[in-house]
Amino acid sequence: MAGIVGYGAYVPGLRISTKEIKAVWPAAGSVPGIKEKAVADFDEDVITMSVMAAERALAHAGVGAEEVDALYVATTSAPYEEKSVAAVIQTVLGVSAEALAVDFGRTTRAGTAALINCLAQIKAGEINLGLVIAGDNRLARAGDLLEQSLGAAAVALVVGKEKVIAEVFGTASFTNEFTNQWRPYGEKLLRRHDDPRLEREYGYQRAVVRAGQSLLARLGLPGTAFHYLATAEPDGRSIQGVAKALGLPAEAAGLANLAPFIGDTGTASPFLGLVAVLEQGKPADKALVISYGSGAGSDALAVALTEEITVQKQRALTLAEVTREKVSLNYPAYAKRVGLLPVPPALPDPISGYLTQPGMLRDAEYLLGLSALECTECGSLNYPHRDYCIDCRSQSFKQVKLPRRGRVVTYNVQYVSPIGPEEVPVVVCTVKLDGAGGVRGGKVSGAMVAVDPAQVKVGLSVELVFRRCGEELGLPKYGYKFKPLPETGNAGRGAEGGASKEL
Amino acid sequence: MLEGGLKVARQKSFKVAVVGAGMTKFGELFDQSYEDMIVEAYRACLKSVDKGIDEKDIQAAWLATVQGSLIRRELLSGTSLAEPLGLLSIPVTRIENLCASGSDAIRNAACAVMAGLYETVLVVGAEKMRDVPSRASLVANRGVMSHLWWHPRGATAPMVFGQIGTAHMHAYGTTREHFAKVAVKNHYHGTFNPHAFYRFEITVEQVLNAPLVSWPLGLYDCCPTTDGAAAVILTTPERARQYTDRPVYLIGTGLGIDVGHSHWRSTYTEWPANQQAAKEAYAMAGITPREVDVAELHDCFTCTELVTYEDLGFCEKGRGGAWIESGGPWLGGEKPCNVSGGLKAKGHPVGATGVAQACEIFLQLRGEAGQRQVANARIGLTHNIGGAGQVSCVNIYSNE
Repeated sequence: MAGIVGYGAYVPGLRISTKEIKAVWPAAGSVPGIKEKAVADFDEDVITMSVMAAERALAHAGVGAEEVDALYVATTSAPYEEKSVAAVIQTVLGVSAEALAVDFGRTTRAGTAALINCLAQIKAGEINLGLVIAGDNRLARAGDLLEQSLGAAAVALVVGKEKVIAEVFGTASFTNEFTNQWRPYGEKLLRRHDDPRLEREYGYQRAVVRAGQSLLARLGLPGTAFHYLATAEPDGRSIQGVAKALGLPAEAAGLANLAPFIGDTGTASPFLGLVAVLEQGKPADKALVISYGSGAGSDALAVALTEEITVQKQRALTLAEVTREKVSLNYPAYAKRVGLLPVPPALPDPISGYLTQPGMLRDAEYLLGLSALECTECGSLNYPHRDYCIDCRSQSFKQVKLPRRGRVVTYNVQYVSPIGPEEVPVVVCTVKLDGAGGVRGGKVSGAMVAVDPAQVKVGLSVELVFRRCGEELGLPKYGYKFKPLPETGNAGRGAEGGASKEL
Repeated sequence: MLEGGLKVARQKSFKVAVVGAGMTKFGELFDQSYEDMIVEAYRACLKSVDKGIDEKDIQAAWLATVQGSLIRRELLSGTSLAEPLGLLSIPVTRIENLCASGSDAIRNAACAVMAGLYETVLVVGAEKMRDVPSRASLVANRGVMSHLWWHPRGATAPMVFGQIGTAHMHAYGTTREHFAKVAVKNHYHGTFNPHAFYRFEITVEQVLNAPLVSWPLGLYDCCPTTDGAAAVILTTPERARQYTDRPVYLIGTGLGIDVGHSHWRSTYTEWPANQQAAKEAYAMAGITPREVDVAELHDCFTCTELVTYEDLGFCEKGRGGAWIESGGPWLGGEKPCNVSGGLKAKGHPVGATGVAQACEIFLQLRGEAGQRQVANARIGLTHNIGGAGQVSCVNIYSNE
C-alpha cells in the first residue's frame, strides 16, 4: 500500500480582507466567496513556508529527515528563475545529499504531479520514503481581480508504504491548453485575460471535472462513493460546482472549502483541502483530490483513509492551530509586503570615494581647480594642499596654479582596470612638473589618455588635460589625465628623466 | 622633513625570547573561518613549545589583521582573537599597520615584554582574504594608495609597485627577467615547505609570458590572494628556560614610515622606510647585514624583493638584478632569502605574513626546517613592507 504517512501545513499569519482591497480598488470586480487571504510577510517566501510545512509533516509522520529518499518541491513562486528550491530545503531539513531532490513548477498543477511521481517511485520500489512539498505565494497586479484571491501557504506530505494514513488508490489526468492566467518570463505578477466566466467554464470547470470523471470511470465508482472533495480553489465557491458535476453530495466540498479565509493558494490549494479532510475524516472515508493549473490542466487522485488515521490524528497540528495567529493588514502594509509599493533600501548606496562625500567640499578646489601651494621657504610645490611643507616642514605657503606640463618620472601599464569605465591597458605615471620646486613636492600622478604604451618612456614630456576619470554610482568623475606632447628634439631624456636619485 | 638617527631611547640591549611558533597551511582555506584559522595556528604554536606551556601563563595578546573591517565588515578587533580562543581575561590589542602588521604586532608585544609589563605574551596574525573573489580582494581592488583623480580607490598595489619596478629598470638596467627570477626562486623554495600555498616550480619563461597585470609586473610577479594564520609566543629570556632549552631571541626591531601619496616619494628606486627600519634594527641588534644568515623578505611583487636586497644592504645599490643572477638569495647561496617560499609561493594572508615569517626563522634558527634548512643559521631577519612603502618593519632574531 502506498500513500500518505504524514502531513503538515503552513499558512502565514498576515491577512488582508477583500473589503480592505476593494476600498482601494472599488472597480476591480469581485472574486466570489473570498473574505480574506493569507499574505507572506517580508521574511516569508515559498521556501520558508515549505520548510515549516515539511518540519510539521516529518514530525507528524514520526520520521527523521535523514530517512527521506526523495524530496519533491512544487511551486510557481520560487525566488529564482534558475536554481533549485529543493536543494536549499534539503539542506535546511537535513535530508541526505544522496536523496533525489526534484523541482516541479511552471503551473499550480505541479503539486499533484509531484505526488504522482513520488508514489510511482515508491510503487516501483525505487524509494521507501518521499517528501512532497507544494507551496505558493503568487502575486497579482495592483487593482486586478486576482489581488483579492491569490494567497500564500505550503503543504508537505510524507509519502511511503508503511503506517499509511491515506492510501492513494487511483489517479487520472486531464491536460487542458486553454490559458487564462499566465506569468511571462521575467515578470513577477500574474497576468490574465479579462474574461472570468470563460476561465471558470472552459478552464477550471472543464479540466477539474474531466479529470475527476476520468478517475471515476477508471475506478468504476460513482461520485457518491466519495465522502470528500478537495480541489484547487480559484475562488470560494467553484468547489461546490465541481462536487455537483461529479455527483458528490453537496456537503462533500465543505471541509476543503478553505479559499474564503486563506485565498487561492495555488499549488498548495488541493493539498490544503486534503489536510482538512484527513483531520476530520474516519477510517474507510474516501476523498477525491483534484488540482488545477490554467493553461495546464488537472490531476485527480482517489484517497482512502486507513485505520492508522486514528492513531496518527492526535500527533498532527490542526489547521485551526496553523491559522490561529492572525494579523489583519491595511492596504499599504499589504502592498509593501507583496512588492506593489517599493520599500526603500535599508542602507544608502555604497559610499563613493569621490564627489559624493563631504571630502569633495574640501577637495574640489584643488582636484578640479588645480589650486596648489608653493612653499615660501624652500619653493616646493605642494599638491594637494598641506599644512606642513612636504619637503621642509615650513608652514608658510602661497597659493599658485598647478603647472600643466612636465616629464614622466616613472610609470606602469595597468592591465587590470581599477575603475570603470576605462579601457585597459591604461598607462599610469608619476610626473615632475615643469618649473615646480621640491624633491618630494612638485610632482603629481595620474592616468594617461589612451596611448600606445610602447611610446611611453621615462622622461617623456606630457601635459595635463581635463577629462572624465571614470564614474561611480552613476556620477561621472572629472579630473586630469596626462597627454604626451610632440617630441621637440631634446625630449628623449629630461633633466629628471633618469636616476630618480635626483628627486 | 625632520631628519633623525636612531630614535630608541633605551640603551639596554633588546632581547625577547620566542619559545613557540605555529601556523596553518596557507592557501584558499574555504573550509576554515577566520576564527578556525586562529584556533589552528594557536594550537600549533602551543604544541611547538618543547616543555609545554600552561595557557594561564599568557598574560596579554596581540592580533594582526588588516582587512577585518573591509571585507568581513566586522570591527571586533581584539575580541576576534579572545573569543575563539576563550582568552577573555587578558588584554588583547589589534595591530593594523598595512602589510607590516604581523611584524609590527611582534614588535609591539616584544616592547611590552621589554618594558617589564608582561612576561609571556601571544602574537597571532590572521587574514581571511578569499571569502571574496580574488579580484575583489584588498590588494587587487582597494585603494591602499591614494591617487589624485581616481582618488581614492584608483591606485592599486600592482600599480604603485610596478612604478618602482619601472624606475629601477630605467636607472640600473634591471630587467623583467631579473624580477622573474625572484618568482622562480621562491616557487622552488616553496616546494620544500608543507605549509606553502604553491608547491610547484615555475620557469622564467612562464613568468614572462603570464598575463600582464601592471607592466612590468605580470601575474606570476604577484603574490596570491591567501587565507592563513600564524602565532608565536614571546617571553623573557629568563622565563624562556621553563619552556625550552632552545629559545630563539628577538634582538632588534625597527619600523620605518614614508609618505602615502606616491607622487610625494623622494625616490622611486628604493624605499626609505625599508632603510630606516633596517638601520634601526641592525643598530639595536648590534649587527651588520653581512651577519644575517637567513632572511624572510616581503616579496608581494618580485620587484619588491629585488629592491629590498639593496635597501637592507644584502647587495650594493642597483645590484639587485646581478645578485639574484649570481644565486646569492637562493637556498645554498650567499644569503638565502625566502626559503619558506616567501609571499610569492607560501602566500600572503596580509596580517599573518609577518608572524609566519617569524615562524620560519624560529625553525631555521633551531635547525628544524628540514629540506629547506639553511646550514648553521645563527642570525635571521624578517622584513615586511606595507602599502607601497608607507611602512616597513624589520625584526632580527638570533639563536644565542
